[in-house]
Amino acid sequence: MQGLTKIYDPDGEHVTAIEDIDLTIEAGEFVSLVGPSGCGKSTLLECIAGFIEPSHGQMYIDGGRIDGPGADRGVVFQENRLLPWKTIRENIDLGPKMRDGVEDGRAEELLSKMGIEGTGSQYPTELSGGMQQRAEIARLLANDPEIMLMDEPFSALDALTKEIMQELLLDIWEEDNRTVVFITHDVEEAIFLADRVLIMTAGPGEIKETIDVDLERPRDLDVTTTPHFNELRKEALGHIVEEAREAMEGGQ
Amino acid sequence: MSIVDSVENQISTARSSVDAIPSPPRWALKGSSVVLFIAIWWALVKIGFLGFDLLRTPLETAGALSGFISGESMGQGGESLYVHGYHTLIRVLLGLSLAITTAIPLGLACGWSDWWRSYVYPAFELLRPIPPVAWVPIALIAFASEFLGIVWVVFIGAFFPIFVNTMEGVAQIEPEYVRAVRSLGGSKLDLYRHVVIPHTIPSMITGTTVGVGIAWIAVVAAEMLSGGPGLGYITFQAYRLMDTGVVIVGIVVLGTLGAVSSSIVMRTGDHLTPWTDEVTE
Repeated sequence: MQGLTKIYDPDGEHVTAIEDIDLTIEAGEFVSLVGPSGCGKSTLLECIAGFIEPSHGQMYIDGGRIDGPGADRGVVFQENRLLPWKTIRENIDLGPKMRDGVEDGRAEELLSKMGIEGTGSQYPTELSGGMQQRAEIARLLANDPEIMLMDEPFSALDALTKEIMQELLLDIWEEDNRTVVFITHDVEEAIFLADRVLIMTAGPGEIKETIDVDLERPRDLDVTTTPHFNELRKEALGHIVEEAREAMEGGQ
Repeated sequence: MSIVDSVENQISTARSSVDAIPSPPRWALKGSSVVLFIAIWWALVKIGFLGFDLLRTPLETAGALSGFISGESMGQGGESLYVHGYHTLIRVLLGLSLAITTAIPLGLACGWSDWWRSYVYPAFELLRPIPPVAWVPIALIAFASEFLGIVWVVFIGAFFPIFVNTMEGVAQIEPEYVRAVRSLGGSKLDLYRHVVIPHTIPSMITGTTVGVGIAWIAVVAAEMLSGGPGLGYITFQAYRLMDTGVVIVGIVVLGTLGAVSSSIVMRTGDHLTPWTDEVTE
């Protein structure tokens, strides 16, 4: 993905959710967006996904303009959005089924890749939150999107499950060279996963700072205890605290 | 151990010692409630409470019922239970089928599309508050036939609960499901097929359950007013002739048909919504 992203979004009441964002994300890059709640990170993601239209500005993927949602951009939501009336297998096969056709055994292959083999004929509500999130990622992979858009996908999971899912996500990403845009409010998660961490400011949402994460890949969770990781974390937190302080002073 | 824990422990020990006392099996409890009801019925008739001495005892009713089941005509030279039942059933089935096949698509359309909601729905809103039974006179005149008139009343009675529930069900679809399917590359038709319709099935079933109940109310009231063979008609006719045996049998048969039809709807509903299994269990 190459191209310029530039969005202004004053909605009906002229609340500017995100303002004048220029952003280029390379193909195969893993980008994390961090920022306080209400800073417009979800709005930005929804624009990329094509769910909402920016009021000004354009977004391009490989030179083509984004015009509505598409199968090239898979989305994983914060709260699980598997269709509850379909079994896990039907959910995973849904994307291919709606487009060209289901490849036999693909669902099972993805389930075992995600470590939840044997759950294909169950309904989503019969699975735990972590397993549902795995199934949702499997559904996204079944569609083979170039870009994965993830909106705080692990924030509802417990700490242990979350760590497992983070490593799993990195494995998947390293395998297939997809582009990932990952939203989180967890700085450590952002640094651990991404090539680049973008720190957003609140009201109006802008990208305040970019931190290049030069930690070696492949990574596992041990990297989070290294001094370099700590430096990056301090730097990121410093920007966020500064931003929060400014926001509070601005509010007075 | 905190105080809360120790209290909880004591409660659970107390509960388990209470549970240890053998309680009568469920069927015995249910059965005793039915027996009690029949006993009260019998006693009221025997004592002659108000006008109850004119009614039949449970035993007499059972006798009359078995007579009618074996094909005796209901009333002097009248039709059999089966003829009356057939007419009523056909009206209910036809009215209900028409209601289901029109109310569900219209409910989906009015729930999903702003155009339908703005331009079609208001007309329905105008008709909705009219009680189904109030349609009887105009329906009998307008359709120029008892059969079609009664079917119309059944239809209109069943239509609105199904329509309104379907529409409400569509309105409750969370936009995230729509987004999920759209970003998997789904078209508008896919949204209908994979989100709107399956999401709304439970609401359709709720609406149909209510609709079936109203259909029976509507058919009985319409038959009482219109005449002709039918369970509602014979029940009311027997009342005029003070043939209370037939009246009570009519009530019993109508009650049974109502119970059977709603259990069919519920079973069909369970079958159509396998994903809600663990909730109903």
